[in-house]
Amino acid sequence: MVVSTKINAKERKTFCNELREAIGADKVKDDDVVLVTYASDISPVPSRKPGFVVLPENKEDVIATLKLANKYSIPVTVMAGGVSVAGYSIPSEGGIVLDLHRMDKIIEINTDSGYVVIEPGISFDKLTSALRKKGYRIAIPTAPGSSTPLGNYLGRPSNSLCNRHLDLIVDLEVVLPDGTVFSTGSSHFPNAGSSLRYGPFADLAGLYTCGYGTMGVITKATIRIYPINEANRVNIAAFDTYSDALDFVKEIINNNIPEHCIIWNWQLYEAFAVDTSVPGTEIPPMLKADPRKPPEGIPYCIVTAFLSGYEEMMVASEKVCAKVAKKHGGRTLSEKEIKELIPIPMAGWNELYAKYHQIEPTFFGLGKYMVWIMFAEPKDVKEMEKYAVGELADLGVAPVCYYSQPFDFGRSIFFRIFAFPDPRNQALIDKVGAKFNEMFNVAMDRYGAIPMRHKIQFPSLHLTGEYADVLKRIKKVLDPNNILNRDIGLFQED
Amino acid sequence: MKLTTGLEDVRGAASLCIKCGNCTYGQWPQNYPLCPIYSRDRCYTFSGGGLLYLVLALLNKKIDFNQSVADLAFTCAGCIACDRNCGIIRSQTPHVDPWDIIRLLRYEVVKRGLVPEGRVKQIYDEIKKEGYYLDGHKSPFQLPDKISSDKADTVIFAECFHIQAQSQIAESVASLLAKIGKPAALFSEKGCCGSTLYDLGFWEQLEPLVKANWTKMRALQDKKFVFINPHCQEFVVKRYPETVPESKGLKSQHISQLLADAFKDGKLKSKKTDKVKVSYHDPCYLGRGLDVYDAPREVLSFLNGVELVEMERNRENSFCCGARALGNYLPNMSEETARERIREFQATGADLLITACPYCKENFQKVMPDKDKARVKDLSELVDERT
Repeated sequence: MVVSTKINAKERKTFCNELREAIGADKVKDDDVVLVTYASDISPVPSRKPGFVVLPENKEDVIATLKLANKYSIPVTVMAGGVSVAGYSIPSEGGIVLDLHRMDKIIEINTDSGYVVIEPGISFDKLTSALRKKGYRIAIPTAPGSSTPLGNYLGRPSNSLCNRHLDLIVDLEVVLPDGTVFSTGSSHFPNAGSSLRYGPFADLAGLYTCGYGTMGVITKATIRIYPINEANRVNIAAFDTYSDALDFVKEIINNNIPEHCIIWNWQLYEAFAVDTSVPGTEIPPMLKADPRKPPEGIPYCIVTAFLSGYEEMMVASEKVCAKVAKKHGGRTLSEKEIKELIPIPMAGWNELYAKYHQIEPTFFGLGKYMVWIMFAEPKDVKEMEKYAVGELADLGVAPVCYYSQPFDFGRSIFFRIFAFPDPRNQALIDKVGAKFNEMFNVAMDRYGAIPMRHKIQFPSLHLTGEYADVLKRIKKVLDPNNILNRDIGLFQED
Repeated sequence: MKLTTGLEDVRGAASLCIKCGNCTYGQWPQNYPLCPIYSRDRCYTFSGGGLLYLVLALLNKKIDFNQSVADLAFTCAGCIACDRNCGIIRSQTPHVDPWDIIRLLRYEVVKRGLVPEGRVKQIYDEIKKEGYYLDGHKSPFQLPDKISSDKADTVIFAECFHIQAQSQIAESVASLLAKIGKPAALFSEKGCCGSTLYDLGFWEQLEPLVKANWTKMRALQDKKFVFINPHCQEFVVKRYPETVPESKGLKSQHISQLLADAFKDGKLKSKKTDKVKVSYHDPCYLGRGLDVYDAPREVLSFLNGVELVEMERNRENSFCCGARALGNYLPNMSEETARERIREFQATGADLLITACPYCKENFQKVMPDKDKARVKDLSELVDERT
């Protein structure tokens, strides 16, 4: 077991008193009823009870907390939205949870340069509401609206609506454990705003992407915004195989047709229609069937291609989608077919794409949400899909749901598969967890895949080689006492 | 949720919470903060989801039942916002919402003798002694002679007069019923419908009370019950069937709906015409609990000279009055919640704050300055004054 804190009870008390004096007593919680609620999330990651929950309201509170935590060598785990299905915010035993919920202001909306400056605790829901009043939007993930853009973008998960926009983060304001504050982008020039991420020096924001809060605490971020176009459509194409669907996606992306695409397997789009918020809702038998064999008339995969631009472009783009779908063995679904086959999912996608707002997925109610995510090259992900679906089908945890989307114009493919074991069946939950770990290893060995998440979800993943050595040296400079997210799985060996 | 449900039974539901925080705020794009306790102190613990994680920690023996757990459980205002905004946990069997689990948590702490000091303890002591809760008040409600009839199709449910405001409202209701002239019978039995016992987790005493009430109500079950207090209505309509299944399907109406019907039928006429701006506060149990949003507004629209000015948070997004936040975890939770709502009312520039629940009226009046207390009225009182 990792020993997270080495200070005695007297020192803890002193630390607590000093911190309360510095930032205000109401921002520092140490009551057990609070601490236990921050000890776990829905993931299978074991719970760890923090010693303190700190709720800063501004940069100065963060600086004061980090300096004191550094002085007493108390680990700090940062939490922005806290909507986690992967154990990101599970603290160190006895450590500090730095809950940034109260730092949720929009500081600047710059429609000229196309960015918004935000505090880390602002949610997608609040930000999208504010931006739409100005005719703008941000890249929206397949995540609940209450999650935060900053946490989501830094984690690089399913950044939806962004096939063409890879660098969602422009500038970050970072606080280090010794109290140093710096900006990573153009705002570090005295007279410049936050409009540019790169040049003329090294891109420090990259240290914080997938850094999981181990390299500093972000107190302000500048992210990209995009104008909402005059017209939009959701084109639906159906395919009998994932491979065909992916070829379709690659071709239309490389021809700059859609704003964004997702491939959905049939058990997922059918699961969208199950409203688990209605008591007594039964899971339809088809969702308990073999995910490899959809019933007659149910396409194995559908692709949602989001088109936006001028109205004239919509007509042409829809024609192109139909032509390319046919070329790859698929077909565009007619309005009648959509109404008959997927009316509820379609209503959700229309809402998502017309308003740039996430629909709260009730499918989380299907059971204990357990997820496996990998990136792979297109040719490899086609084989990996068959493997992953087969493994879960054999495990008997249907519905087996997945979605997949292209990153960087289809050069790299995101693949997220999930199961919903009964939340009371711990044996099955453990079995799924073990299977996922086995699948991670197979996917890396056989398909050259790369895990999206870190060791905390994938226990046999290790930082190795010169890459790890360099990263650890950087970490040592920025956080010499290793207080930042010590137990998240990246640097705990230190 | 049956009274036999145990904390272990809701483990499955609680385990589904993804900490999305949707339980704390209303629908996009307004995203209004709705959870009173979270609005007061923005720490995840103080939310529907936070309390689910507390329950899981108790089940997993990560924390023992103690006075802090009890105080926090009773500090929740029971505003039902979390139930309306969480679409996830209800899927499990037994089908429960966050507020059901919070009630269950209260039952578990009460069972362990951890009743919070103050109002909760006072209520508990009386219930332990009497089996019901009257707070020394007997029902003063009498139907006007000219409409009182045991054979009438309508039954006025006249319980829960432990709330002082309910007695004042009842006088107006009696007067209005006389004006309308519709025959009505009266149900007034134990003085308590059981909703307070249910919400506060005093379940040991609840079943006998519900059964005793139903014994008397059974003879009237084909009639329509009209409720003054939405807490009674929600409890009788939705929860009685869990203890007495034959009560399922009981016809019910809130007094605001009866008044709206009376205006539409021409049996009530607005007489006063002086101009007054009013703001209507949707009570949690009438709105989110029973989905009655339109009737009170219809009634106001029939009153000459009355202009309705909505508060920013209204209907499904209404903010609680705080009356039922009785725990001691955060000081003055009930009063501070009422004050927040009153500030929102004051921002409208309205003359009167109208509600349709005696708890709301009482709690708003409690924190209003003396000179302004009369600005808080129940809908029935306003209608009686102007017809």
